[in-house]
Amino acid sequence: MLEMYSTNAIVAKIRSVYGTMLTMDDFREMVAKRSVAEVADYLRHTKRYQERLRDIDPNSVHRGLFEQLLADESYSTYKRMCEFQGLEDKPFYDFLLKKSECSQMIKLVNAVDCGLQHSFVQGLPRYVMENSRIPFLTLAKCRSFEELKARLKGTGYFRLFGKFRLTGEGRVDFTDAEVKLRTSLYEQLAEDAVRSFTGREKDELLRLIRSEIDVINMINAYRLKSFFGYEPEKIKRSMLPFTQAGKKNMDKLYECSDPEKMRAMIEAGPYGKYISPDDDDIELGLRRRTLYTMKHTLARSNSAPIALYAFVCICENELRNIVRAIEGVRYDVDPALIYRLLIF
Amino acid sequence: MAIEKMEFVSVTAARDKLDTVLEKCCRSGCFQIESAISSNAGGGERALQLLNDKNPYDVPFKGLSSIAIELDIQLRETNFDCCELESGADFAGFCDSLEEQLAEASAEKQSALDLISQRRAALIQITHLHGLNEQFDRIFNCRHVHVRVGKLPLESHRKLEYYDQNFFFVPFERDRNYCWGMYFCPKNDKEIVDDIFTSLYFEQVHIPDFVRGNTEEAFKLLEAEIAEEEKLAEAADRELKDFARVHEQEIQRAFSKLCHKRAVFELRRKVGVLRDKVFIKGFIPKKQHKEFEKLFEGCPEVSLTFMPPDADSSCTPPTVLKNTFLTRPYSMLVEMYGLPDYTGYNPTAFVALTYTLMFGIMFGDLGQGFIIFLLGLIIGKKVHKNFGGMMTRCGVSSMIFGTVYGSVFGYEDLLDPVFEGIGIDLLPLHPFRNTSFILLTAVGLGVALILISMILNIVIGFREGDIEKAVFSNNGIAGLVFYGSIAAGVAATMLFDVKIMSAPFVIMLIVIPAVCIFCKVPFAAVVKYKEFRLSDEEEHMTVGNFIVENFFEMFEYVLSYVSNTMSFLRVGGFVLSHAGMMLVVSTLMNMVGSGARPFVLVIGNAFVMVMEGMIVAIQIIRLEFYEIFSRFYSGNGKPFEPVKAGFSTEIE
Repeated sequence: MLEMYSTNAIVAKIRSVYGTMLTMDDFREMVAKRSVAEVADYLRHTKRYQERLRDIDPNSVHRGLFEQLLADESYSTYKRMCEFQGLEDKPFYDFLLKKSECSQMIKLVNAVDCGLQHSFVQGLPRYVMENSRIPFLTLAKCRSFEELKARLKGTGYFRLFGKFRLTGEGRVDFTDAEVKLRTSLYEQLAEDAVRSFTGREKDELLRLIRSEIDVINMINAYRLKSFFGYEPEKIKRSMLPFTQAGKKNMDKLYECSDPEKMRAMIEAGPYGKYISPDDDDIELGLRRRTLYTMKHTLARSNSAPIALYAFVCICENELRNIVRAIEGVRYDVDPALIYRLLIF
Repeated sequence: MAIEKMEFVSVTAARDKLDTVLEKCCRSGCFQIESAISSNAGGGERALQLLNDKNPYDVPFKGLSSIAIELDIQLRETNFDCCELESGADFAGFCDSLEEQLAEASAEKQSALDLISQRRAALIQITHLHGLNEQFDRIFNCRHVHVRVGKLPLESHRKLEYYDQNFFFVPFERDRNYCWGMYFCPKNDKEIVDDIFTSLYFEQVHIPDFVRGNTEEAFKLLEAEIAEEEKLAEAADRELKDFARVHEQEIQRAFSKLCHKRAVFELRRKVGVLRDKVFIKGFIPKKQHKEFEKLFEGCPEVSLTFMPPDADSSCTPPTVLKNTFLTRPYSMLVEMYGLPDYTGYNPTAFVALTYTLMFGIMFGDLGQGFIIFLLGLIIGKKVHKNFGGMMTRCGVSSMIFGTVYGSVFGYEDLLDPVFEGIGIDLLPLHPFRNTSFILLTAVGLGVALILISMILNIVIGFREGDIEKAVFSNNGIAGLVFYGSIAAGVAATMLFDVKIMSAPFVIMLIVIPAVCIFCKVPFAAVVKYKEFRLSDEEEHMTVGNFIVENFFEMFEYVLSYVSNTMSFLRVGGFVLSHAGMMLVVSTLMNMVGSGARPFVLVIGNAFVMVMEGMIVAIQIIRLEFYEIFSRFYSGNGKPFEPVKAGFSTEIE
């Protein structure tokens, strides 16, 4: 009973913070600005970001730093939510950190392989440096994949790195590495969910995670097909081995002979009504549908992990929208076009 | 006393007529614009796009505002009929011509201010270098060492450990986001190290050449320079003031027109466009249909379509309360709580009646009521029309009840001879001699008001077709019978000693309604959907859950019936409190000499009027909102806000 009340409290808190998030009108204002400084100044006056951006000079702040601050704020919001109920040390609730670690690890593998360590360090978010147990800065000093693997000895990544496929020149097959890292992440998240929760809460959480993976797989499959002309077998190998839509359905999708058929098949399914005929890419529609699912979940769920997971996904979308708006303003794109590319 | 009837209007026009149409909409004073595409629009409206053009008046608006600030002109709304400027370019040209004329004096002032600002900025920068005691020249003139001063984001500061290049960073000071300091490296490695720091978002602070000596010496030097430049800036300022005197009227006119044009253009954000047509939608009061239509006569490119207010499901019709002269001031309270839905019930008359009645009862004093009445007249004229109106009505009510209590400025016996003369034995009703009667009457009034609120809820429920609300809820017919029967039973048994609480009475009028309230969801589902279900929502509810949930709800309802009824005791309580406070005033008067008595009388009455008047007013609002409104009213309405091109000097 008491546990139920505490869950209600965190869900209520999440919903109240959700109420401070940027609205469509805010984005309409932002895309109509003439410079990144004006966008920064606008965000500085919103309830959601005013605290984080209070001491920033909008005229001199660098776009990269500005985006890092916003990402940092998103993580802080998530952390505040967890700390509100003392959940930060409980399993599963570190899912955002795990996701961020995974995406940094993917970037690191690529950076070490291509000698782009400086860029990696430049983009390494503060919250990852502060909260992750993986010493990314030290790892960035590695000059080869083998050295990186050796440095990871003693962590869970060492074994995983051993499974990465290497090319003839001894370099790492990046697509394979990315798939394996992401697979490991989602395996870990699913395992945490199964271990920590039961009944409907567990099922709902797994459903959310798998739906998210479906979207990632669909976007990647469509891209591999339309930009690189991959064969079905090759596409299948590059996909994450989880699905909510059903293995058969996904296999059918991967086996489509051309991107048009692939798109038609996706449009015929539940994602179809979110994909506009004007959209060049299906990504917008798929993400729109994910956002809708997450908003719906947040509105009706009384479970803390489910609400938090949905909320974090909504925050990620907001951040993506802001970055897109900033990029659009920076390159003087027509406001109407930028607005069309935002996901609501 | 209802809600003003509205009409949904859809305006379609050729794109080049957009400004004229918007101008007319503003001029009508009765058109509330709605976004042509609703926020939750689905794929169907994708072809229609909102106009998101940049406002061409923004730049001249900012320009003219800054000119006005520079010339110290207080901008105010002015008639702009004789202003010939029209387009954004015209206004921009006007700004340019003013700026040209101002150029010399302005440049002098600006140059002085720039220097001051530079010196001040340097002062601020040096503030962050308090740990540095070395001469600036010596540091920056090193032949083999490259130095940069600035601020580094804290996250980047941590990243420095990654780099093994030939440099070191000396931090001086930290704030929430940045670490201030300077880095040193050999001149040969300058490019590499600068690149590293740039990639870490290091913001360089230029220590200007004019900063000499060490930190302390530089401070003194800079302050002396600032004082000198301030004198020059003052001289230039005098010249600008002369210019302002000559051109003020012209600027005021242009600015007012610019504001108007800009505000009209801003409305475009809600206008939908499809090829060469624009679409505007909104609401007007039905009674202004003809005036609105007349505005567009002679415009063949503009077509108006009038539809019922619920024609567009994405737009909620706004609510305008329609009230009589007597009840109008109380709409302020209704608006404070929230306007009713467009199809809802306007409770202003009910509020007006109950508020005035309760104020009179709680603050009954003929003299003080008269003062409140007079103050109401003055406030209504000079300060706030509605608030003044409420005061006059409450003042009259207070006078009537003051006469009933026989109280004039606290003198409780002053009216006794009058009543004796007329021959009314019942009056005056001295509070302290009729305490029980007053308290019981207050509770009786509360019961009556709660019952009326329930009846209103039932009527509204039937009107909305909500059977659960009208019949089975705690404020529906079941609640009315349950509460009314208990109230009648208790009153009859305890006050009149009539034993009406027989078994059939209890079963029919108390138990059955209680069961109805307990099972309101399944009963309503049976009536409405002809099926049995325990929950409104799709979720499956077990019988055990249903019983537990409804047991607690029922408990809360019963508790609220009791607490809400007892809450009205405060009405009687304040009658006694008022009499008590005036008794204190009269005791104080008797304690002082005869010379000071008028003084004590005035101060005492003023104190009671302000203090108690405010408390009573607030308590009645509380009774209205919690005890009465909560039973039948939900203020979910949308206020009516006609578009207007208002004057504003605010730069967003």
